[in-house]
Amino acid sequence: MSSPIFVVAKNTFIEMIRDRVLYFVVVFSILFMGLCFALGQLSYNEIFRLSVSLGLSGIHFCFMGLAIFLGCSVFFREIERKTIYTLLARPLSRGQYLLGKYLGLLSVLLTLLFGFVLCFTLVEYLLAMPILLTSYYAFVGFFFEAAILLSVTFFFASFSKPFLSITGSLAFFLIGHWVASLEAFIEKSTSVSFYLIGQVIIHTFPNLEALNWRPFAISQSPVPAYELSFAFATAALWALFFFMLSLIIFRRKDFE
Amino acid sequence: MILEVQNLNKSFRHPWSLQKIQVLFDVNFRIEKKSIVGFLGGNGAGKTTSIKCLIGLLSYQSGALKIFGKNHLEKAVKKEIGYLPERPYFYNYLSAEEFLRFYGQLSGMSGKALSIRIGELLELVGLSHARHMFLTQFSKGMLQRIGMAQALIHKPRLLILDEPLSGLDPDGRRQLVSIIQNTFTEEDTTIFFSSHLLDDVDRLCQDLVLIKNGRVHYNGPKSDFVDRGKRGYLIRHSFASKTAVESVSELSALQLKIDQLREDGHQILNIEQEKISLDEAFKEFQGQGGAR
Ligand SMILES: Nc1ncnc2c1ncn2[C@@H]1O[C@H](COP(=O)(O)OP(=O)(O)OP(=O)(O)O)[C@@H](O)[C@H]1O
Ligand SMILES: [Mg+2]
Repeated sequence: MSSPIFVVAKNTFIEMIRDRVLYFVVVFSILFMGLCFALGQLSYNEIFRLSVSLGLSGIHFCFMGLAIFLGCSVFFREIERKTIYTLLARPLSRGQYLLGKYLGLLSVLLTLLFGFVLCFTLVEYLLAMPILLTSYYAFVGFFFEAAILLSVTFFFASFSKPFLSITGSLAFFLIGHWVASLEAFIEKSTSVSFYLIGQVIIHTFPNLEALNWRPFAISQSPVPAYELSFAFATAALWALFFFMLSLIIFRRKDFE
Repeated sequence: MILEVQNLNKSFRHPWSLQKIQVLFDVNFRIEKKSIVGFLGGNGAGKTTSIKCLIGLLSYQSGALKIFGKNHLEKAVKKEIGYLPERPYFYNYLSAEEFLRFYGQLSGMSGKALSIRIGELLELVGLSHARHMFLTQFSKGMLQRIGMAQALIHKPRLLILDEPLSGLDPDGRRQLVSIIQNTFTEEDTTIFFSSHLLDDVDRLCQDLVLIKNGRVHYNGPKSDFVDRGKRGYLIRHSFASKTAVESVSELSALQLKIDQLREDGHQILNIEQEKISLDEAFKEFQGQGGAR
């Protein structure tokens, strides 16, 4: 007999992968990525630098967008269609349900990321660029970041409507990328209150820039192993933290 | 004891003012033995709210809810219940078969037994032809029927259906009524369903739970409820080949009337208790006690 978590994850995956909304977004992302590469091709000089950095940035942007979109829409859809009602009527705890959903969506994201890797490789090949392993570390960072963002969207979606969840998750994403610059900024600041507020932000938000390995792709150097493992551990902890928060809220949720 | 709800109180909070709005007031009812029980009440009476509390989708302020003598949230209990919500939609991109397999697996079924059961159920609800169709292509009536199949997949001992018949055309309704009836006669399943369609309730149920403005007003056999509304007796008698019908309101008055008619040389053709339909009885019930 298979675990209910796995059963939920598997069906979430199948359902999502077949949903054409997803394909629509994928097509959009591919077009966007194509645009990035086209722009890169325009400036003739540093074609490698530009194509890689623009391509990876485009993928980063789309992929995080997808993670937020998937995470925020999933509960809304489940409640709207009342699938959640019939699922929770089964011998399935809310924790198992939530974990199943999370793992299902994470595998959808992994599949999408794999698609992006293929596209990226194809475009590089078409542009007659060298295919370097160092370009692919960035994707690992994307996945870690998406895992955090997905559990952040779960957190927001556990108590708010999709619009608010998307806004909240987006804000989280932006602040997470801004934390590093904020840190440098407040070091120079003389205002105590500004310093304190800055410290609070720095310590309550993960530094998502730490997962940005695009510069390594451009400089063609590998990400050190300790950085990889440290990033993995922090990403896992942050994801777990927000997952637990959403679980606490979700357990007490009323389905009105 | 199959189902027992004791002093269930539920209030919602107004989303803005956070003011408490009480919806269920000391709701009490029970189902003692296998039966088809209609949960009857007008719009906003509190049927869906009570059912959601039972399933564990809503928390409640106070009350004791027991299914098969155990707390209604226990996993062992959930294994034994099937539930169909009001106006369900379900997953879009699963086929009928995949959908049923998904739900069957969650209820601990697997392998060959599950495959056989899926075939049986698709047959029962008349969706064998749609086995490989995605649910997004299903009509409302088909969704309701696949919803019924999902509720039945694990042969539950208690089936809780929230308005299974509304929103269907007469044909669809007839099909669902016969599915409910078949399930009841062929399986060891008690069926508890909410409705405001009196015809169907009348056709299906042996017992009733009547709810109005968040309070249960009646819980018992349907026949007793209808009897409560019985009015009096009709006497058909003839004299000199002319027939007449008279009505009396009470049993004692009836005896007197009979004596009198006999003394006057009338022939009594038949005596019949005036019956009212469930529909009339329900109308009377709704009229009682004023509006909310
Ligand atoms: N989330 C909510 N917040 C506030 N009040 C609610 C909420 N849900 C339901 N109610 C109120 O609770 C009462 C009972 O609603 P419920 O849905 O249980 O009725 P019902 O008997 O199922 O009616 P219907 O036949 O229309 O489905 C209604 O007055 C409704 O306005
Ligand atoms: Mg209702």
